Formats: sequence, C-alpha cells, structure tokens
Amino acid sequence: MPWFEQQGAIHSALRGLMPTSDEEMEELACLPENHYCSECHTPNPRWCSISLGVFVCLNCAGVLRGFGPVTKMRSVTLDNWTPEQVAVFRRIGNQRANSIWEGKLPKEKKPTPSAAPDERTAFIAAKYIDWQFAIPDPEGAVTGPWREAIKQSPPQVVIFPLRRFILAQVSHYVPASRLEGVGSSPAPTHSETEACCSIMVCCTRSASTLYLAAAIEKFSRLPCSDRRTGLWCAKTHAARPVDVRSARDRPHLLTGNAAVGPPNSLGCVLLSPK
Amino acid sequence: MGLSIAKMFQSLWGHRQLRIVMVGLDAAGKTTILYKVKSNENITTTPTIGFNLEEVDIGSIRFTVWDVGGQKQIRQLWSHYYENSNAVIFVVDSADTARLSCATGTCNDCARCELHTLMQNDTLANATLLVFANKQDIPGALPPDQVAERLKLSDMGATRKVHIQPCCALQGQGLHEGFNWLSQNC
Repeated sequence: MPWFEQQGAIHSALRGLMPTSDEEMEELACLPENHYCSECHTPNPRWCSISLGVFVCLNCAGVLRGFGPVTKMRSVTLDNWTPEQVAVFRRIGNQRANSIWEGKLPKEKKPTPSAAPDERTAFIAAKYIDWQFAIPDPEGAVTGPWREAIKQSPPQVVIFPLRRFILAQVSHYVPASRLEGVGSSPAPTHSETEACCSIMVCCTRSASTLYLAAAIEKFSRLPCSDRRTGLWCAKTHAARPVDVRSARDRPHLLTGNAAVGPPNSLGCVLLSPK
Repeated sequence: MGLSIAKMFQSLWGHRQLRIVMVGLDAAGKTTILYKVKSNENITTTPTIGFNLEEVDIGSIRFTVWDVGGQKQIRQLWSHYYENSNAVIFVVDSADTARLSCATGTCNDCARCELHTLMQNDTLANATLLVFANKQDIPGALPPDQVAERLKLSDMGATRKVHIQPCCALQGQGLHEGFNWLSQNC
C-alpha cells in the first residue's frame, strides 16, 4: 500500500476513535455545570442557544426562540453540530455564562422550573436584552458571541409578555451617544460610543396604534448604562397608546439622531440612524 | 365527473375536508401559523417535538392540519405524515437567509434541499404546494419573489400547483389568503 493511502487509513481509523461533534455535545450536556437549565434550573436541559453558549430546557428554549434568530436555538439530540458550534459550548457553558450574566442577580429572583411563561419571558428579557444582572465581562469571553450575534442579526421584532407591545431591535450600528431619550427617561450616558445599540419599537396588531405605554413605563426606569444591547425609549406624557406615525407623538418617542422611518406594509415603523 | 359531483354535494351540505401537512425548518413559524389560523391567538411556542394536529374551518372547508416539528432529526419522520395529504404547506423564515438555500443544492440542511427532497416523495405526487414566506415583518426579510427564486420553486414540475404567499404569522397577515388559495386549488 502506498504511503499516502496508508496515511488515509490511519486518519480514518483515528476519526473512528474521536468522538463526533454530536457525541461531544452530548458529553458537554451531561457535565455537572450544565446539568440544570441556565434560566430556570430544570434538570437535564436538552436545548441550546448557540449565540449564548448555554443549555436550557424546552420551555426556556421556546421563550428564547421568540427573541428571533439572534438566539439561534438548537437541540442537543435533534440537531447536528459542527465543531465550531461545539467549541462555543466547551468555552462557555451554563456555569461560566451565569457567573457573568447573573453576576448581580439576587438568588430569590431566579425563576423556578414551574415558572409561568410570562415570568420566564420577563426574566430572560431582563437578563439578555437589558443586561440587568450582568457584571462586566471585559474580554467578552462569555458575552462576545451574543454581541456578535446581535450585530449580525437582522433587526428583529420581539414580543414581550401580554403582547401589549412589541419591541423592535434594530441592528443598525448606532452609537449610543447619538440617541437621546426625552421626557423623564434618562439620557443615555454610555461611555462605549460604539456600543451596539438596539432601539425600540413599533408596530401593532391593528396597524394603527402602538401600545407602548407599558413598555415605556417599564423600561425607562432601567439604568441606561446597562443597556448595551438595550432598548432606548422615552416616556410619553400620557398613559395612552402612542402612534409613532402621528406628528404629535413622534417627538416624544425619540429625539437626537434617530430617524423614524415610514411604516412598512405591515405597519412596522423602524428607527434608524440618520 | 364523479369527483366534481362529490365536490358539489360537499359544498351544498357540509364541509369539504382537506388534509394538509405543514413542514419546514425549525423556528420557521409552523406552530405559530397553526394556532393563529385556528384561534387567532399568538402563543409562545416551544420547539415542536412530534406534531400538533388541529382542524381549522375556513369558509366551507375543513382543513386537517398536521404541523410537524422541523428539527434536523425529526425531518426524517416527515414522510410518515404524507399519506393522503391533499397539500403540503412549506413554511420558511424569509429573514433566515443563510438557511434558505445552499450553494451546492446537496446540503440536505437548507430549506431548498428539504423542500425538493420532500416533494419528490411518491406519496405527494398529486399534492398541491403552498409556501408561506413567513416573518415578512422583519426588516431584511426577503420578498416572496426572491424566496421563490432561492427555493427554486420553478423547478417543481409543470403539473404541480405551486403558490408562494408572503405572511406574518404573529400579526396574521397573509395566512387566510394562503388557505383560501389552497381551498381553490386542491
């Protein structure tokens, strides 16, 4: 047998001994640090977010999936894995991820395996969209893939619980310093000018009015410095539905250099950098 | 002739029944579409393991819709649901452009490969094909003509009835138009 064929035979024999990516993923899922859902502590999670590098249960997978392609959900058992995808999970995993993402989280605030869908959604949104519980991750070892996914993902409509309002994340690269809140919402003070900033908003079930009041109430109280991926929003003066298409409400939504685009055929209005 | 008389009787005295199998890659929006047309509700879905089965009445037609999970390993089971189906609804995420089609046409992991594989199944030889180009509300979503191009819908064969319908399952736009097309073309 010529030498190159021998080499090929050795390689294929070795490949038989090496675990495949799918098998390796199984092994990673069985590690003690990944044995509980990273969001609600359900044992034996079988779903994964590629962009977060964590293992979650079926219910949390459903919630995360609702945030759109940015979360890239896959099943440990029902999907095939590439070595690059597996590497993310080898590097991150639940324990390391939560040491950053939940660095400031009081224990009692974590949802339980029996948490209601709305509670689960609110927690996951606070954790990954608002970065409410995260502590700094200077090298981006944990948060890097997530930031990258946000930058690359198309602007995404995210529906929050109660479906009273819809928030759109805009992946346009808007420096935080170019956006200003109005009303009583604090002006963004983020030092990281190139922060990948997503903006609010818009769209409606009836394609005529927006139901933003609740969202605005809720999010404008959050410190802006936490919202690297966050949602900039302004408070309106009245607790009534806001219509971004009306000249009266527009100035209350956002000022600064964000432009309100024309509504598309589905009634969605997007904010973009001017 | 016999068939058209049967159709006429059904339209006079009750529901015509159509059996539909709804497939597509994971996270395309199949379950969301099913429950939106069934009860006009937006539900937070979890990935479907197995299938959902619902009867949906639209006009005088009763659609029996099998909504089958789309994860890679579950796709091998799709063929078990094809039997007696009048139509296939193939749902794609128009914004997930990376998985709409592949360069080679042989990856077996993109929407185009999966669609062409499934339509070659003998059981579906006479089935009508409706493609829902879902998630049209997402900026960056491809318009229906580009989705059709990426999916190579023109290669579906001269006799096959094919239609692509843009939609947004969350808001319900386009869904009834799609089902109405099915009721007229099955």
